Amino acid sequence: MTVGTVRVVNLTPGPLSGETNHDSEPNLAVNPQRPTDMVATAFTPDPLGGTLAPIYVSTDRGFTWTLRNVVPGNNPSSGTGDITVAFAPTGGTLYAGILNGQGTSRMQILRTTNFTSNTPMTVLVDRFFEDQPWVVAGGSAGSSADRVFVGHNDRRPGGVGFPGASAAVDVSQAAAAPAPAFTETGLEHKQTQGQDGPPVRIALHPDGTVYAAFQRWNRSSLTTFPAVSFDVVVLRDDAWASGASPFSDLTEGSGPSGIGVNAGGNGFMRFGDIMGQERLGGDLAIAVDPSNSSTAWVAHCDRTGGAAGTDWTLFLARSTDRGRNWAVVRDIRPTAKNPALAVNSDGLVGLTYQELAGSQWVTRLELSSDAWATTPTTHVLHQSPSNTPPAVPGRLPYLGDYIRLLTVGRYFYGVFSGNNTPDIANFPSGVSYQRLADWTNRVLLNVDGVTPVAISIDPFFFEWSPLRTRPRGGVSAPVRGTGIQPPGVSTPSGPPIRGPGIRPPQSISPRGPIIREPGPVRPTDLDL
Amino acid sequence: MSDEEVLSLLRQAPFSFVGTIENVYAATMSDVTIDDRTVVVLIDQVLHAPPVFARFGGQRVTLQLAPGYDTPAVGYSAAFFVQVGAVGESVEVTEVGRLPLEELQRHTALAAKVGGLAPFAALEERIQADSLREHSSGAQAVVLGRVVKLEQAVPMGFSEHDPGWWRATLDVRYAEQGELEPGEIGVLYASSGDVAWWDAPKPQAGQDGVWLLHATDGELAELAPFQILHPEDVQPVQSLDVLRGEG
Repeated sequence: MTVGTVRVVNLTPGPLSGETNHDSEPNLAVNPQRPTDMVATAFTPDPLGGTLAPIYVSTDRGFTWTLRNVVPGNNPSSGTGDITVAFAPTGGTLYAGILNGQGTSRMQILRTTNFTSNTPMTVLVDRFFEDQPWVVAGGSAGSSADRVFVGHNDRRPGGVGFPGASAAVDVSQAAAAPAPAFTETGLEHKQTQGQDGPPVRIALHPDGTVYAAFQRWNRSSLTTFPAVSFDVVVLRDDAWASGASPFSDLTEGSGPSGIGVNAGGNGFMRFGDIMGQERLGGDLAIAVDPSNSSTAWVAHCDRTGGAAGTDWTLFLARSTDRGRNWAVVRDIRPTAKNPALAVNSDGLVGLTYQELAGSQWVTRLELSSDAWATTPTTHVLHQSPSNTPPAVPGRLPYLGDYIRLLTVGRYFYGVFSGNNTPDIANFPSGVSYQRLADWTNRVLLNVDGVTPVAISIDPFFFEWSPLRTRPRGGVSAPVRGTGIQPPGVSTPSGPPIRGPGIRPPQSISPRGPIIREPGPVRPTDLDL
Repeated sequence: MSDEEVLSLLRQAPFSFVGTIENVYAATMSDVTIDDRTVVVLIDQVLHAPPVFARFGGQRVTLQLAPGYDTPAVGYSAAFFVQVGAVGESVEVTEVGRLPLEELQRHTALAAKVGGLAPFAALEERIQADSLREHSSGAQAVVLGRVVKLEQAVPMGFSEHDPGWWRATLDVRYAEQGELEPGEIGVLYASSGDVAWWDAPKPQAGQDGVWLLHATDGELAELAPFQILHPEDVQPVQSLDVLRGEG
């Protein structure tokens, strides 16, 4: 049993209580040097319809969030296209990979050295015919060079490697430089069905080990798209992918086609199939143990029933020999999606996913310290009917094609999107809302505290905190927020403080917020 | 201030309100920069705003004053035209212009005469019409027509962001812009519901409308001469008056 507490926060700021957008496909970055500082993203448009899309910013460990429009290419309905974010290991620089909301499959890699400013992020890379940029950043201990890796699906004709080889990664070994160079490396070494799957995931270890995982859509006479036969291919580089032949340190055969290991057996999918109003297909995650780069974890989904099947089974596999061999340690049946993985400094492994359990979407965090040999500690973060709210007609994704889980030290941090009905039953681990809600009657309210607002999809942040032992013995209370205490923070035992009843929080009530005069207001850092 | 000057403010500012200064050198948020140009404003009345800010009457916000305007005293009221900087525990707005209350009265009185509309409703309508005309000026053809056929143009591509090209055949009755003769013409559209395409027009069988047609190029030109991808590329028939500047 792993002892800790979970805190869940709805990211929608109070002044946007009237919004009804479907803010799906969330992502998260936590500053490893100062984990009070965080940035989250989702398909959230600029509420005023401007030219820049927003990010969610928190400087108080995720208790409160502020929307700032800094991402180029706002789409009035969805904000940016695909977006992922990562903080540099030191210095607080934020990197983002996006599909520009104003361009078709236009990938941009972005940077800002001040994530709390309203200054637009700087564009470092700008390319068309790309998909799903996934950003991670790392570096050697003591080094100030930002090594930034952006996994992506390069669909440019002849963009990288031979036709149909689309899994790729852009790498900068010094992304903090004024005009950093990003070098693209193709990860695919075999013929494909026409391209690889959208997700390309990266895991970094401070010793320079880099794992990459992608879906190889196999060339097969037995499948016609959207039916896809696929492998989950893992590659490894032992020196930050800085050598002449990056990502070629893991092989299961000779020659270029032998590069990489299939960590997922022979998978099958019908790409884009719909379950619980959501499309399926691009489900993949990888993580490495921060204290042992030989141990890595991969999660993916597979229709085990093949062409006649109806499942979307989630598999979690572990390798303890640097990716050479993989063993499944956990499966979630029959239908789950959006696996997200992370390992903390104690070797505790976290797996978050969204399961279609009967007629409900259920988002869980599982934690295991023994590779699921015994029952994991499970926290239900959210659960709600899968048919509510109705998907916006003709619009996908519903919840998103991915979520994210991270660790800093012993703490886990994550995001997911889900139904925002203010119903305590939907949040077994408790929740805090910034937006106004009548918890008694389970109704969202506009900023006037009176007008009902239709439910929609919101992004949610969560944190898992270990219980700390005091130096003189005994167990301390769970770590609570410091500094700015927002209204309506839930207790670890569950129900939100905001409800019951119609009670606008002080910050946007007609009586107004507390007037602040100049002076530093900073939460203290965590004891990691 | 002339209508043209107010129009200019409305084009720059997505949000305007009548507000009263309550504090100077102060803010309603913990994470904004405060200086002697930062004030707290009580919003007395929303003048124009996107829907999510339409009910902000009675709220206090942080206002960063525009250069060129005096720092007002506590108790001063005016119509403020703003852009939004940050939305968190409260809202930070940046002033782009200001209208004295006595000048606002003219707009309020005018709006009241035409049925109690919002003070700037007529000007906002002009902005929308100008925007539509500007968009239509970039189209190769603007036609009045009806959808008589819908068909898949190419097989769905591999990506979840593939547009899913379909072709609509329009029976063109009249060309307002461009050199198209009455008759049938092919128009590509994105059938995909992916977030990248879901707000692109999805023609329906039998749909009548004004169609703003944009030329295709490259491989797409082999499928149809035109495409419609922008949400404004399909307009109701009545919008012809607007496009002609008569609306």
